[in-house]
Amino acid sequence: MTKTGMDLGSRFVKICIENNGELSFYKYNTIDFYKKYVKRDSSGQLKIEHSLLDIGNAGITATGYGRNLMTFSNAKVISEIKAHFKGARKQTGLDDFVLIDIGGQDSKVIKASGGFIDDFVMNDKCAASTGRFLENAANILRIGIDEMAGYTDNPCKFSSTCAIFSESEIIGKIAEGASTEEISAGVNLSVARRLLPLIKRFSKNEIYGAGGVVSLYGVRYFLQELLDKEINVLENHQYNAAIGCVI
Amino acid sequence: MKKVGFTTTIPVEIIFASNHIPVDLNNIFITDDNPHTFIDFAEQEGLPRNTCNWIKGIYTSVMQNSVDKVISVTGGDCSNNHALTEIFRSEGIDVTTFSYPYEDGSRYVFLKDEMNRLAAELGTNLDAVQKFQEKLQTVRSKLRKLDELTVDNKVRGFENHLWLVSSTDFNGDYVSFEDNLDAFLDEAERRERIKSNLRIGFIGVPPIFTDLYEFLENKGVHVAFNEVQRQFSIVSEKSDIVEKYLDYTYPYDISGRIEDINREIKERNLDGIIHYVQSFCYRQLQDLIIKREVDIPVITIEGNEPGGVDARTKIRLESFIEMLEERKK
Repeated sequence: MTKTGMDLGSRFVKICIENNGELSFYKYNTIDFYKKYVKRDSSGQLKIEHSLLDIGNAGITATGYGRNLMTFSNAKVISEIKAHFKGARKQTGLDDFVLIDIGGQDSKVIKASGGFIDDFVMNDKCAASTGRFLENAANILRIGIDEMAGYTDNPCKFSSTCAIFSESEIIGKIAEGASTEEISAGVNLSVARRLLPLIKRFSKNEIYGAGGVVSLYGVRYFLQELLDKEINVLENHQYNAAIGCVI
Repeated sequence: MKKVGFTTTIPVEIIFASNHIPVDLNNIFITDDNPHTFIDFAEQEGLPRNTCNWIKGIYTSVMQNSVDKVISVTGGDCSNNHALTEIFRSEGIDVTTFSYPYEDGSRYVFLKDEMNRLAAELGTNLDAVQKFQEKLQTVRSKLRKLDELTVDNKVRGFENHLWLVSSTDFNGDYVSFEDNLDAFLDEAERRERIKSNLRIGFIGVPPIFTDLYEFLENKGVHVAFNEVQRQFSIVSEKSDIVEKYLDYTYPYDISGRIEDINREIKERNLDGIIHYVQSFCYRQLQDLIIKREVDIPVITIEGNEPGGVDARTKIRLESFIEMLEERKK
């Protein structure tokens, strides 16, 4: 019997299959995944159809932003906070930890103590401190997101609090003659600065990182510097919530 | 008889005692079939997008001639009301101000002066108001009963919200308000108790969301406390009308509210608190103190426009509920 965990993110769908304690991972572009694998069943409800789910599958547990926008006839849904908490507990083997997850459209911090969720915060109504902003900035600079993430020297200062306005600021910096490296470093710093209020009050604890953004060197570098604290990136950081779905 | 509108809760006894009809301008806005049109109108007239939508709702309510006179609360609520007062005056609208005192030491004298002034302006006096207060107290005591039935899981959080928030102006007619309330209480007392997994308290200004209570109730949550709505119903049983409005916590500094909230958390056996804040409201700053001083888990949610709860807020609320349920196990 296999169990399937699915994290329906804004950019990627992350899948974790558990088979006799063995975990395997798969990742799809969200739009491709919905187009290819989401169908309507005979009663008109949405259904996930995928060859991974065919043989002896005990069912799907899903989480992520998408779960609130649609319901699937063949998936049980749990909240992202619960999924991340369970995933991080499994991955760290700890009862007490702080997890920061930085995704494509949101960021969240969960504090666990004694094996329970003690507190959590999520960014609200703003995508300025998320992966989407990094992607847009990299697009403007015409470089890859991984390359952008490598720069931390001489960061340009961005003052706008809004991701959309920041884009015009980036264009302004290009016009002023700032280098791609300096602008990239500035973007990494600005994301870290916006994340800081979310996580600052938890900085006494051990901090673990999940999500695509946390693995990017530049953002993590500045976040660690601002917090004066190391962030331990989880081994399967992108699959943390999917893992939490099968535990 | 004039329709006298006000921008937030004022001693409504003064308006009744002067034989006028009280109208809470917030209620005109939010109970309209299309409250969005109020915001659109105000923005088209030039009010900024990044200003509280309740202010825009009040503005449009007045500009569309729903009342004959306006009482603008310039102390104890937000300073947007100062600008609103000035806009109304420049439009030739009959507007007067009312102010709750901030300084602790001189509150009684200050508030009594304000009440005297307002009473005189409306053609009555504080003695008449005091007498009227005794009449209205019987209705207020029934609202207290309704609140107790909410604690006792017989009245739903939304019903509690609606009755208490309506008591700022008693829908303009305290006699029929009391009749309807009697009928409601009679029916509610005979109800089965609402089953719930969690008891939640709502603090902060009344939410602009239309389906928040429904959303929570569907998750097995009973809202057993509506902080500000309850304050709007003037819970103090003191007979002196000035004292009564000094016990009302909403317009004064936050310490009185915190004391009230923490006491009610214990009395009502609450598991968690939802702190509602309105976008661009100065009370958002007080969230910092609330998180520090309130003894149980608090989640802060923000609303801007009238309508359903947005997907992100739902995710956050669901996670909060899950967390509280896990803690309770």
